[in-house]
Amino acid sequence: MVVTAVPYLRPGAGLVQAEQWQVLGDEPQALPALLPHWDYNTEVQVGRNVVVDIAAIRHACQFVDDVPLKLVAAWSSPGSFQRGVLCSLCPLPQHEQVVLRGSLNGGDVVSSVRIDTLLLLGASNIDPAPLSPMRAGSVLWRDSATVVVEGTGSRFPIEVIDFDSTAWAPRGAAWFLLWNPFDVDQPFLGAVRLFINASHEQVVRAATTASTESSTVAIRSAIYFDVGRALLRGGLANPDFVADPDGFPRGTTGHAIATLLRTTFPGESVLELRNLLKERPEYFDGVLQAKFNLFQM
Amino acid sequence: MAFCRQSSISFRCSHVLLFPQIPHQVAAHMTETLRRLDVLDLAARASIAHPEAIFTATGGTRVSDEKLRNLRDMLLEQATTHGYPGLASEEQRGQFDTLASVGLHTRMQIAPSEAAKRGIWEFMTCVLAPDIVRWRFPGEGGGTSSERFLTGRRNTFQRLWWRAHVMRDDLRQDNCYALIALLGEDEIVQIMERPNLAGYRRLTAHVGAGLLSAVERHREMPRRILIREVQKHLLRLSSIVMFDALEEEQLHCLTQELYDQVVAAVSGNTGSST
Repeated sequence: MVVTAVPYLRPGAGLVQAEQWQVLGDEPQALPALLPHWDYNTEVQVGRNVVVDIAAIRHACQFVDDVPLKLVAAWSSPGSFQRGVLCSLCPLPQHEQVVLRGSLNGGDVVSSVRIDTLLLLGASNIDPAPLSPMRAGSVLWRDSATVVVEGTGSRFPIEVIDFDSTAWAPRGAAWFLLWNPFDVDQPFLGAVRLFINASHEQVVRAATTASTESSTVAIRSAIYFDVGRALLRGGLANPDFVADPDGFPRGTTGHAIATLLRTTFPGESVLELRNLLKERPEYFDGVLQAKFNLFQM
Repeated sequence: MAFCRQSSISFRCSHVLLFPQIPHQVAAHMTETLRRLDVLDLAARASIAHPEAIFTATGGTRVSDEKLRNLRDMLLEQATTHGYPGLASEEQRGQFDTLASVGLHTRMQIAPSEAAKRGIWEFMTCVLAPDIVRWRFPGEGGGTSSERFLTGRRNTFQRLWWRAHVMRDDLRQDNCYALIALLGEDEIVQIMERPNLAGYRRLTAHVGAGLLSAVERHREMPRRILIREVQKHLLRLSSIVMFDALEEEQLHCLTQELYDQVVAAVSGNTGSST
């Protein structure tokens, strides 16, 4: 988990009270975790009520009275690389409920959208007290809500097809992981797919059922190892990934690989792992066997 | 009760076009052959259709055959003006990129969410204009690199569309795509290869304009160092500053300040921390 150490004072918990996001309309309802039937023409109006204890926040951050505060609702979609502001309010009224309201548009969003509500320093703090925030836009408080707009998002994408009926799948193979290691910015669920050869009945069974027969478990272990190895090797061979493994938004292939790396090799340097793979690839594969508990049933 | 004002540069989809997409496995298979063929052989293979092409199911109008032909004709004309099918100089290739960026962004009329569909770009490179890919990135003896055909940051047309989208400055009345022509390839890559920052379109416009201004004021400073170091500063700030919420003047001041800090640090004067 990445933790950001903020170099300035921030207000404590409870000084910003924000209600749950609502989908607005004739009958407002709580913003769900999944919005189905999403396409480019979709436009969803969302809103929430927020109360800000301005006096307490000014005291906590050591602001003088004329330093403005700004409340902003912003959206971002890792699938489309787009982001923007739903709405903003500055200056904030004292002890008054604020309504944040805006539209999420289908043309901007792919796969999921994150809505951040942020309390910000509205302008540069010209004569700040020590440790008082000074840059315009400095984040004092935030919360986030994420909505999936396509698919259910939780399972590894698997598809069973007859490899002999295609020109691109390796004939006779038991499975084939299709993905593009050069393009780790793409949403994981759209960009990575495990194809299982329909003519391999045992492999189909292992990949699509929860059977606990020893042969099925062994096949599943082999698939898990092979997929994990492919993703890790691909990521470590991609200079863009190695240069900034934590720079990929949630939901992208890069983020999934970074997460897999952290859980497989906790605390280890990506550069050192890249070097190990480069210099001793056979040893790296052996290490992965142990890490993924290959055939340990 | 106070209400906030809505402020968002957002894509409105009244006339969204849907482009054909080919499955990645098909593109990968095709690329193995395409990347080594002669430019004119590929021109003969170029097509506006593919039997395995699919479309996004809803939300727009399928692009017409005529529009696809026109798109190919536009790219071909731009390439021909800059040396196609012969070997082009670096300057010619750069000029093609600038023209093609603007042309693709203005002619394709696709939403960012459609542009994020990788199959569209693999259709463009593997089906519609493989010859132009091969010409633009001839590669060494082994042919064009696969990554120029396949989806990703280095796909020949995907990179051009996105740079036009990110670097379009809607506040410029005269030419909203001016930055693409004024910045060099290395500088554009510095911007585009940091997707965490490139998503802030207004910030990107100020970073680009700020570079041009900084170069005027500090002619001795290498451009690539200026933009690289400013991007690093912005990346560090991005976790504690909300760039999207800044007004235009605030963005201008921020980028100017960072460029001045970089110059001072590189010149060996007293620098201040971010």
